[in-house]
Amino acid sequence: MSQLLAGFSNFFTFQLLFLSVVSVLGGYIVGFLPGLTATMAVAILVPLSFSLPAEQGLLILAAVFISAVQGGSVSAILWNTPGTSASAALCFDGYPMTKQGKAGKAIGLAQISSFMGLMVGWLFLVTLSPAIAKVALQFGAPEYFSIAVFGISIVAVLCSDSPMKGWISAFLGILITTIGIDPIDGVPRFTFDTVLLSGGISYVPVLIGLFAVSEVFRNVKAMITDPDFDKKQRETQRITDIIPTMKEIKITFLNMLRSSLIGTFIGALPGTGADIAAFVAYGEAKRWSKDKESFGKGSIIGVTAPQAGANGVCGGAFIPMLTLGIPGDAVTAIILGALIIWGLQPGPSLFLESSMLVNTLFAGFFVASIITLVVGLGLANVFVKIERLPKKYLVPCIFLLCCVGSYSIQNSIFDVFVAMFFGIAGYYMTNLGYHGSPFVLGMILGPMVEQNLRRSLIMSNGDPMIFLTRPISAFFLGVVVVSLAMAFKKNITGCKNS
Amino acid sequence: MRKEILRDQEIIIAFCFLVVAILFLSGGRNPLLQRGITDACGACFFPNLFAFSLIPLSIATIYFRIKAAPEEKAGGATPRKLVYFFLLAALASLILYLGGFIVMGLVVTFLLCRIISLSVKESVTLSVTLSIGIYLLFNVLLRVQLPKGIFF
Repeated sequence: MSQLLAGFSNFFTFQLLFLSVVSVLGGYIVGFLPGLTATMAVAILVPLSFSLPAEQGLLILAAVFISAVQGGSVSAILWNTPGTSASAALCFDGYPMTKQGKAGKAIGLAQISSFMGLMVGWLFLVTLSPAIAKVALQFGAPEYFSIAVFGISIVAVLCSDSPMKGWISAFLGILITTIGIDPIDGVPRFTFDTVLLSGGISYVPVLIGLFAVSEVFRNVKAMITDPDFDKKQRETQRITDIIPTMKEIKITFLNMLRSSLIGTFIGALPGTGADIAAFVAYGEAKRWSKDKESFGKGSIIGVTAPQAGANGVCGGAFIPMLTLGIPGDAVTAIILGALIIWGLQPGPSLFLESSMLVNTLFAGFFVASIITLVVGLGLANVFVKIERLPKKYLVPCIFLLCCVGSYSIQNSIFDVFVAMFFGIAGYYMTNLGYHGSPFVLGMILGPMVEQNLRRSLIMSNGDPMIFLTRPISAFFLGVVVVSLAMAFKKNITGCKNS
Repeated sequence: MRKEILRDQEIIIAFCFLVVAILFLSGGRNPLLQRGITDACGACFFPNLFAFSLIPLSIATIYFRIKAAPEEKAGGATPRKLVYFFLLAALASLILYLGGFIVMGLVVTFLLCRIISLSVKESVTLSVTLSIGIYLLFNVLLRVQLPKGIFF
């Protein structure tokens, strides 16, 4: 505790505070712009940070990481365009809230839930790092497989109204991820012998296509068929209170806490990320909610759950990186590299040899979270005003941003084509009742299922019992079976009643 | 009746899914994928599993759709102007490749503005402002290299 306080006193200098504010603002804008991810921002900043002392450089990277995840939520809420892949799950309920004229409220809730996620992650990072890292190390390929299957089973909850269409979407999403070089054997699959497909289909252009481009098409259709559409839209949209009421916080508090814990835990597992955490948190929120029908139609719990989950990852991802030298996700992998270049060896010795640096980082994480909350709430009003601009001017702007966003991920024009293709497909699929959420869930979790299934079978010489003989894996598979059986029973009962 | 079935968007899309599943299954017949190098499954096991699962689901969707009452038929006609926009979106990547970002931005934004019935003056102003504004933001400020086109 005294070391943490010393870290705080070391942090409170004008220089570090100034750097934190600038980094948070920069990260927020990067997250807000489609196609620019937290990983990209941190990677760009790493060479710049080497010119600074280790604690200042590390702080910049951590602040950008935190704020970029949060900034991505704004474009998801306002334009159905996920700024980062972690914000994709926020589109399901954030954008419907905007359509109802509650954009300000949705942004406010997203900021509060992000802060909650960050604080829970931070608390675990400061107090329970070694214990969590130990548990995370118990996870091998069978456990990862079971968790990914558990994540995919959320489709049954997400699409309880049309399960068949939900599963079709999820299977299509999984199949798309199998295009490219096979991760185990290294042979090309379904590439039609083209170089373009050998790298696989990146999921950010698909996300941009499914959510943003298809929304542009829907808006254009509305403008073509109804010349007064723009006028009507502006009449129905109001700037509502941005700060959530106590009643709303009370309704969502337990859900935010659960989602933050899910995010922190998933963040602590190496090889996972904020996108997976956001989807699992959203699925669990719907699973435990008494008002499942409101999800997808602007539920406030549907906004807070993925955001708290995605931000819980920030703290969680630092745990294995600092305690064991194993990065929790792509961003912490870059930060790990930076630490090594600074001459610091992550692991238990880091806490002994560079205690002040670690505690200053903890203090910086805490203060950057508060600055992010203040910046987020402060800018919410500006963002809502942008959203109130006439759709006829916004639509071309969003369309161009979609093109740039999908291009800038890998500097690939093919990705722009992918975004447009999935935009047209997403337009028809959504019109016909095929949700985008199971498709994205399949795309994100599909590779994790496949790689860990095959690794597990290699470990057991082809014996599938490995999934049932390991307690954690058996537990998660048991939960999957029970939840699928319950969803199936509910559907049968629903069919009989109707 | 047969014409109605063939025009039903839900049947068409389910049929497309069926074709996708068959394409994946035929791609999985590649001998290189069937022989597992490191594991018993081989690289085609996982995609085949989901492609196989997709077939009965697509067939069931088509079956239930045909059985559904005519008034339940979903998916309205696509307006002609929207079809033009689809074509424009599909061509955007080609224009981006040939002319670079600025040219693509000018052409696509201008045509999109015309599709949504903005005046010529508004369309020109918006396309120039957006293309140059976004170019400056990404290329100059954020240092994202945007394509310059093969002719420039």
